[in-house]
Amino acid sequence: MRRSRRDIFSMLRAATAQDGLSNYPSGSLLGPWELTTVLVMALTLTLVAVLAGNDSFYMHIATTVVITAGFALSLGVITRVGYWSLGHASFMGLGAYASVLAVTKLAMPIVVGLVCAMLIGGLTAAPIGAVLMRLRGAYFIMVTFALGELVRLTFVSESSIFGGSGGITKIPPLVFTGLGGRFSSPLFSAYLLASALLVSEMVILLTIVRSSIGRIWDSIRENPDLAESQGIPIHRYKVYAFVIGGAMAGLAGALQAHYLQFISPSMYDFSQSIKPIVAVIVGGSAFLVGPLLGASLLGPLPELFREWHEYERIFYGITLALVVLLMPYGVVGFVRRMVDRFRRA
Amino acid sequence: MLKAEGIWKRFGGVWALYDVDLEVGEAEIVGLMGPNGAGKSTLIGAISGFVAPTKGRVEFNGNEISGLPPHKVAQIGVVRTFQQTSILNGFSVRDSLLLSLEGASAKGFIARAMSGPYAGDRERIVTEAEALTLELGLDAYRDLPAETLPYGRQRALGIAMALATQPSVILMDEPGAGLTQPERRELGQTISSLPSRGIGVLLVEHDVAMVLKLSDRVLVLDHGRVIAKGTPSEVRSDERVIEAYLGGVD
Repeated sequence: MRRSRRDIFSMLRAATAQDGLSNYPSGSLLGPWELTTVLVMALTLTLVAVLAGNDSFYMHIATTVVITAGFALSLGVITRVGYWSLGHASFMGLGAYASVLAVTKLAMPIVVGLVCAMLIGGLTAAPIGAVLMRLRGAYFIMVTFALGELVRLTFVSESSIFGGSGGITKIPPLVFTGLGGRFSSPLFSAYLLASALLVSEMVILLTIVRSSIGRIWDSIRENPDLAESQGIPIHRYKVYAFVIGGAMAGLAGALQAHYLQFISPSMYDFSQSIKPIVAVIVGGSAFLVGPLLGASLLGPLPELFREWHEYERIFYGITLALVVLLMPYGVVGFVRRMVDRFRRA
Repeated sequence: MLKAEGIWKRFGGVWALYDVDLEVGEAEIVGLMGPNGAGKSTLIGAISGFVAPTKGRVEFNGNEISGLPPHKVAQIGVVRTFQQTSILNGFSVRDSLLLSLEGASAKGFIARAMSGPYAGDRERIVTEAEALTLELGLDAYRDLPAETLPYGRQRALGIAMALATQPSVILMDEPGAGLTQPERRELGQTISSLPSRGIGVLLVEHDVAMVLKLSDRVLVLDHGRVIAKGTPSEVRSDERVIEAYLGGVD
């Protein structure tokens, strides 16, 4: 039997009036929703490895998607506070060059290179964020665009350090020699490491977002004046988001560099900054799973449609326009609305 | 307690505030009246740190607070509400109150991240959120996003959030704007209950009857200047006030 909408609301009201307290979240670090998300993620990543482990083409796509998802997620942290960076690929580039230079010039192990990538990404983001996060939305977008180009041009012009526009080749790959067999192949090693790091990043971010910081970030995005009037140091929390986003982008860049064993400045140009933006919008910007989903949907496309490479940007443009028009809160928001509608019916 | 001395504010060629003095004592309701554009909202902005005064000094319990950013002023205990309805889209009543209850928590980023959904003690925070929910008549809307609340409840949520920060002084910028008569009465009751909890109020309102009824002292602003001050009955019979509101006869 179908109940009217008003009925449901009055029932809901009666239920919450009786038991208002139990609807306050428990004090645990991760709730049921967060644990489910992590579990589903880990299972999916394992399943892909089991099913596609023997096929180097599909493993290549899977590894690319996992690295891109980490990059999209890093932008998702910054969009959480309402800022859209058009130069986010430069943090990816900084991380990539930091790790590669640490490994090739200073003969550091790759693990140290990855740590360097995160540190350089985060430490560069701190002063930049401290200045740029004072700007209102549109000005922020313009300045990040300019900064992104500045970083890319520095990679090109400082050729003695960064190898110029030709980039750096013969980068040592990631190999888990200890595991043996198939697991020690560079492809499988890269997939495993990137997946493990993505799940860890997600656990950390879910913990942060479930804590009072999640509410603070959301309030800054929705109404910064009101948030500030409630005693929240909004500027500081915007910079925290920017630094976390920068560090995570740096890590994604380093993973990609060691996986592809080649980097060049053009890998961090404007069009690379657009990709995570599209992934975040398509997936849904309000939830952490949005960027992951967006990257998973869009990530394989360039590999699957190699022959039509020149139409890639047109495709991105059309997808973006359609999503904004039809699913303003992305795929995740769309699914959530459908679930709500189904429950109400 | 809260003391503003010689506040001047210039916007381009216009003096929005012209040597304004103001004091709000402990648990006192001070009314601030004046026609549109008199500088009332600017004064609230200047006290709460949202507007930098051109000249002047604001003190709270003897410490200077002028020049501090808005969040510091709020943490010290001087919190403002907004003239336009100001809510957080997507935030339920519960989430809005939790945000305000913990906004001023001294915990740093990592300490907050490691303490789960509550920056402080869950028991205490939940109890306080519930108390404010019931007090401001929001109990039917706990789970609903703020933007779906009826207008009057959105205004009430703004006051509930301000009270959640545990202020010593609350600066209310036209809390009655757009409310119905029953809602106004309810608002009047809420405001008059604040001094008994040790909260001082600066009440900016267009509703003259309401200000005169609730306030211990009244200040009248016109074109950025204080044109009258005193008890409600003194202000009511002041000729300059009548002229400012009704216009001169010349």
